[in-house]
Amino acid sequence: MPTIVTRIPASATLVMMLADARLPVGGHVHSAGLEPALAAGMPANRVFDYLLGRAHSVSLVEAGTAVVARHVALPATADSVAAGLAAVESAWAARTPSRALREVSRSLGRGYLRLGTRLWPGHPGIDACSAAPSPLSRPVVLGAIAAAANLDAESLVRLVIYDDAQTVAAALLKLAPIDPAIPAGWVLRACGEVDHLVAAIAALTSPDAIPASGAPQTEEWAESHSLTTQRLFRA
Amino acid sequence: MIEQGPDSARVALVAGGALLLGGDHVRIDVTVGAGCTLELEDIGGTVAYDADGERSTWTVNIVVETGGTLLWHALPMVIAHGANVDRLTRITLDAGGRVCLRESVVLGRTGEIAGRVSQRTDITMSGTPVFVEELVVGEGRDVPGLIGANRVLDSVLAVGERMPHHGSLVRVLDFEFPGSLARFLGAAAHQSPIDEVWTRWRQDLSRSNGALAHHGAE
Repeated sequence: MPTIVTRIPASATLVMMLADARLPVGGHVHSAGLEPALAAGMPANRVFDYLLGRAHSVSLVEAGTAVVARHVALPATADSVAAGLAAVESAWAARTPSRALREVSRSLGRGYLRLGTRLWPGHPGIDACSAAPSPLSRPVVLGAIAAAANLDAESLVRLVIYDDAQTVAAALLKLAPIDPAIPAGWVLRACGEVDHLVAAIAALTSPDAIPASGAPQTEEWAESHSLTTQRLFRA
Repeated sequence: MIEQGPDSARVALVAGGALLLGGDHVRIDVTVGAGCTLELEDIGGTVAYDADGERSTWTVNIVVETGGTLLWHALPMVIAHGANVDRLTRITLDAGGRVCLRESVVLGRTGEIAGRVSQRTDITMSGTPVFVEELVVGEGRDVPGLIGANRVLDSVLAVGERMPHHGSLVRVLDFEFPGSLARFLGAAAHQSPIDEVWTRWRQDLSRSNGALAHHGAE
């Protein structure tokens, strides 16, 4: 049995753990769309532009979703939390027109929820995720975990942006290896480029206000990738 | 008005002038009553002209009441160099409402670096969000994963029913809520298969709609 978390660790500790690739949530099978992009013909020398483009678009949708999910999972009774999370999930789904990307995110969500139910049992946000009629997306479950673990909203936004960029960088080393220090630098640069947006996203409380930046090529590539068997990463 | 039936109409949209100039604010409100069918046809495309960066807006508000259907084959909007356009398409449907909308944006005339266009689509049905998307493109941006270096974004959007994919004409996205989006990204409009998708989806919708079947037979 894992230890149930009763004393609250610092936000910095939680962020380190949640951003750690060794966290047992199944993140290692994902490339943040990089493998589908390269398979569709994106040149390997465009990976930094790709990573930066995500930081300005889909990462903000993901971060905004997680922040609003955290907000609705914070106080209150399990009933109101369930309705609130369902509304956040709908807002996220409407911003994720690719069925392949929705499925991938929900399978990641299941991994996060397994961890959440073991570490923070009985928290209304975690309970509401467990009781949801169908699996919730990764950002919604992550938001509930942030509420349960007392992780602040700005750290949550930075976590989501960093995690996405680092996922691309780590996948690149398997798909088109280069000097590993180079993509590590890209991750820091991308996170720096969007840091001025963090406070505004962290302040979001309404599902309607979640950023909606689309990524039409990414969506197209993800759909193609979901049909192929020749792949290293699921998405 | 091209033609009118007891619960259906076909209407042509004709622009009143050389749209779209800097500082212009165009707003189109369309309401389709319960159980009615409206088909809109654009007579000419739109060019957003060089406005030296001055902002213009193009706002479309569509309301479809219970059981109503809107079919709108919109012609391309060309974003010329120096244009700065905010496009908003807001569609609100009641239960059983349906929309099939062709939309296309062309970034720049041939050989020209386009101005900027921000395009937001916001669709809800009975209060539930169906599709919400914001794209900011143009000005020579080439972001892989967004639209890359493609100049043409051509799409058909269907809401209220999930549409067949019709083989490999183009990748179709199925929303969580019943509805689908077929989108072509490419270098030139004439390469787009979206015309064909529009024709098929319009027919698919017509089969389950008496008023449309009548029009289709003419």
